[in-house]
Amino acid sequence: MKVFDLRALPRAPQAGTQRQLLDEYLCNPFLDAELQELALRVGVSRNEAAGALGALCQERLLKSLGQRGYALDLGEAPPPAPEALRKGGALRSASLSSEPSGAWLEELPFGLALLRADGSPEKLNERAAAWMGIPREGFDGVAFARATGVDPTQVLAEGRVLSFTRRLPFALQVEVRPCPPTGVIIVLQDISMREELSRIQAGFQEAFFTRLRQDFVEPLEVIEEFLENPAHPDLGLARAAVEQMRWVLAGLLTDLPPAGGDDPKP
Amino acid sequence: MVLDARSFADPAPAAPPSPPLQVVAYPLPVDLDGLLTQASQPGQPSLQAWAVEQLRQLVPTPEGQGVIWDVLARPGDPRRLVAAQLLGCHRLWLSSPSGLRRVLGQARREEDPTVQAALVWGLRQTEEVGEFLLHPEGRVALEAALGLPLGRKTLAPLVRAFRAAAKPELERIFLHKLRALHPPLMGELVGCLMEEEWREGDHQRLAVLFSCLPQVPLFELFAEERGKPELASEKGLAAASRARNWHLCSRLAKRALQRGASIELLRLLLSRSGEDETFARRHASFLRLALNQADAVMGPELLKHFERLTFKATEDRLVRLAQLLVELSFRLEGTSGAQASSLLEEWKQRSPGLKLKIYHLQQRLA
Repeated sequence: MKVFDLRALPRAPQAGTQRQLLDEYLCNPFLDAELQELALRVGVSRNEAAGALGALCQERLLKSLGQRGYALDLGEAPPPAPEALRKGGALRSASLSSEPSGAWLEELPFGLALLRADGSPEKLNERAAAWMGIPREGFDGVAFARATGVDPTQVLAEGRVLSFTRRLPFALQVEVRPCPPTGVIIVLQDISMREELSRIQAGFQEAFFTRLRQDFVEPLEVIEEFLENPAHPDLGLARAAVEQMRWVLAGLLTDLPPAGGDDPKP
Repeated sequence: MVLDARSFADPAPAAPPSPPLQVVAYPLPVDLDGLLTQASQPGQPSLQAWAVEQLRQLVPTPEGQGVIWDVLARPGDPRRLVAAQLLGCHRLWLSSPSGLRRVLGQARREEDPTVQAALVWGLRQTEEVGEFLLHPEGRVALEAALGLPLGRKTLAPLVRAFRAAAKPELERIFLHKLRALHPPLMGELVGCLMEEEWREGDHQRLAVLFSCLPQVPLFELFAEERGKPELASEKGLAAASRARNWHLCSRLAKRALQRGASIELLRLLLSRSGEDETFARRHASFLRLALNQADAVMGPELLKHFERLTFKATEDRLVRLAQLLVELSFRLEGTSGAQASSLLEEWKQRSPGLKLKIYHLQQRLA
């Protein structure tokens, strides 16, 4: 008769890792660590930690905070007690503010949005929401990432200012500035006027260089040929080139050629 | 007979469906002081969870920070751990040097190791955690290792802690972090390694460390000696020790590179060898040894790289690459071996001279 000890047979996969992870969170319920750090904490591979975290999230013991990692899932907590916010002023709500400072926020000549580290909105003005084409009440890190492809929480994690431009609804410069550990500031500036000026300047430069190419480069080549070979038969052509350059320069500087020189040819 | 012993091991057998839970209304705390008290009382788990969630959602104002510091200042207060964890959760103090100094000071003089570990966790990703790496309390050192950012100022404490070999879990964390070392910091790291006294027994651990480091900057530093410190001009015992350490590090690093060259390093070596004859000659034996370790997985990748390198290549370059490819082809089998042979046949078509040289290489006559 064979006797098996079934305790030695496989049990629920990664039970040990799950327990270790939960231990970490129970020791510090404020812990919000990303996958790799958790793997290092419990001394398992990244894949094993990912599997165990997935199982814990499914069981609603942990919850994912997106880029920020994982936190203990303490269920649906009721909103902060208003008394807690009033008494002694020791705490302040992390929800979207409706305080009077919103008035000056709306007066700003640019769009401004302050997002917390988890991507939820702290403050924003109407201009930011309208320019980004996101409803004000739905403006958060996810909506911003969907609209622009830039995840603010990722910018916060990297710790570097990210700046890019958008073409719609008009030329906009968007700057995402991390302020660790609080969150990120998003500044939107209307640069349509600046773009128009740049276009005009570029057009002017292009015209200027085209004229230089036509009126200077070719005459210079003729002069160079003559200087290399003074016995060149086209001395008259070289002289004409010099005259042409003098004339163009005079036209550019809106001044007459120096006294003693020949009259410019038309 | 099969006996299922699992049910005996389970502390709580499957219970019959329980009656609906009775909801007991507790008086809820309404201020930070009360929330801290509630969060540190394990008697009522649901209320404790509620308090923790409230503390996570609400951000302490400057007055709230004062309450937290008052709690931390009272030695016997049972709320000190939660207060320290709350400091680490809402790190507004990190924005001012005085705030950082205050938390650091508290972490230094804290006597309760659990609270100290929580304070060190609060200091994560700051250079200041480096000073706790050698802490005798394991939990504190672990939090310091996990929160240590890699930078110029933190490499020296990291190397000291690595040399002290306090705990294997710390070593595992260090090695993982060093895998992602920023290339410009390689010189700094080696500089720190040279400053330490390494015993014979440490050599194996040092070899493991070098096998974890990014290989391209490691190759540039030790094989190409780009950024090598000036050792000849230094005199004295300390200088002799530094020179000895340099040679030790150089030997171990080269061996680590040869034994387990990554595909990135092999690509770099092949590209540079194709472009630069001096480089190819200087590192020929190194490359040959590294290629000998290239396995079946890297073979096809390398062949693709060879193919790319020979696009519009000169004959000299082709000859240099052919020498390497012929050696590689001897060790490749199956599809990869056939690919290498067909690539060599393709090169042979370029010119009669090249065909002859490749033939000689294949017959081991060159």
